[in-house]
Amino acid sequence: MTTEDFYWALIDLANGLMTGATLGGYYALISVGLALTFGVMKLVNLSHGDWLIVAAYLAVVILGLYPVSPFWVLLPLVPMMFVIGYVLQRGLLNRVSTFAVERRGLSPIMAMMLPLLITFGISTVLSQALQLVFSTNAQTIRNDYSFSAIALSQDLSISTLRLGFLVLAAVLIGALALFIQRTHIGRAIRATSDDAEIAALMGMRTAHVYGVASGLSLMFAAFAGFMIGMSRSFQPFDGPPYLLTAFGVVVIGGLGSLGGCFLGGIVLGITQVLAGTYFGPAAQQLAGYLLILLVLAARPQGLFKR
Amino acid sequence: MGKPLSILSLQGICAYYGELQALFDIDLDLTQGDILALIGANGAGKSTLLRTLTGLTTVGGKTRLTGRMAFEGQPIESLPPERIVEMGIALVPEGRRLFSRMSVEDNLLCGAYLPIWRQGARRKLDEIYALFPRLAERRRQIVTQMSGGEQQMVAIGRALMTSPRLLLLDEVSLGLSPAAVEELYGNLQRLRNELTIIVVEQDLQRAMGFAGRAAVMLEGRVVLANDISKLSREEITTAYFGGSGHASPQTKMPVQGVH
Repeated sequence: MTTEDFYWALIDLANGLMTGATLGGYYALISVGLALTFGVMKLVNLSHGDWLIVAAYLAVVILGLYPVSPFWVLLPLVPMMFVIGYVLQRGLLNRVSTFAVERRGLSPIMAMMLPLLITFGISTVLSQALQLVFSTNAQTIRNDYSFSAIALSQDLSISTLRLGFLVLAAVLIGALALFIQRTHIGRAIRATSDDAEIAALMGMRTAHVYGVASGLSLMFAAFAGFMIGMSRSFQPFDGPPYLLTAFGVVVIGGLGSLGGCFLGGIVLGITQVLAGTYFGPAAQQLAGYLLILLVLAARPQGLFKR
Repeated sequence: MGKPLSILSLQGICAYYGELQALFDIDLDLTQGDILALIGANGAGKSTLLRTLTGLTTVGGKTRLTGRMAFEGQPIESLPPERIVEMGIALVPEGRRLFSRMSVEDNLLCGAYLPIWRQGARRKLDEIYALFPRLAERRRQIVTQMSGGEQQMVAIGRALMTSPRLLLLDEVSLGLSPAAVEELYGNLQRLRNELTIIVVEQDLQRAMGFAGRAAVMLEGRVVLANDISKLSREEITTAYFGGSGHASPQTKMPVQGVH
């Protein structure tokens, strides 16, 4: 091996690690909402991926009406998605939650199946509705950052947008963790997820607490959907693959753990990019799924859950 | 001295879990400052009665409640748990059921969740720490790392954070060492003058020492109720085992699978 070969091998590795890590930030943001609803309500939300796409379309619509710099769209988009999440939970999902179904005296199988069926139904309705309104043409959020990169050396650079999203993911997930740790409603979210009956004895209204948790979940879907729209094109039926990725991240990081979500995203990102670098693009997805299988087999509680 | 204030009044309370009736026609009156020991064998309905008082049997379609229940004159039989606690009834549940991933202080602060309680939460915390000095030293500790007795103190403290006027204690000494029980009841003595208390306690001796009144339950009914000073130990044990002449309970246990 010549010195030059060695240099390029190092550059490949550094590039792989950096690109992987920034891709991980992107993955983490996609997954937080899923981790949150699972962690708090034991709700496996099969429509999670579709909500990301809904958020991306909403961003395009708002920017179509008010052509401002794309980042401003978060200002209306994030609270809008929070409200949708809250209303959806109170109006529909609370009625089929495991807790509610068991209380109604239905069998545990129903308690497990009903939320899955309902959220699967929501997924179908959302993607069909998006197709009806927007047709299947690919959309994107137009911006000037798509191809911009920060050069670290002559042969090493990092996508500005991806780096921004990694920072955004870290800040947002940190803020969410603080919110859940320190505020009254955050404490109520933790209490209700631990023991809903006792939480009610403390004056906590389960239906409201679940509503807030779902609102937060879709709030993060708003950030993630915006990020998807900024960095690539999307179509009405793009939701499910994102759901799969989010599942992977949640499995790797540990079910329902927020910090695990962030680290899990980064591990998955780095694994995929390195596999792509050394074994070709086809290996990228395969390596990701192999990692997920490996974690499920060897450490089902996730890599980062104590 | 004025007429003692009625704090709790139950009339003909029946509770059902699906087809199964768990409480039969319970009548009970408590005046302010009463300490009532609820005595009975396993499955006699003591816990169900406490759950009923906190609204846990009114929620959901599977459990059902009939009869009248009033707290300080206000009807509460159709209120959900989160409303009843706001009115001033708090339960320390059997098995403690602390929020397991939280610290001592976070568990306590959960009791001060409602906006009306948040204002005084700090002062209330200090009161709890004064009552259970051990908790003050361990306020940052995760509750699952503590001894059973300390966990029980957290459970009682958490209930007290809701500023109750009626405190329900369900088997607080279950599974604790004799020394821990001693310490716990020592701490509880200080609440006697401030609160009305219903205590469910397996240790008859302990219950009789702590309470002023006793009610014995058998198969979902109250079969004996009086001031402890007017009850003999024999009377209580006979009622406990259902062998007395008192309103011999006509058990209507549903027979399943028999036609």
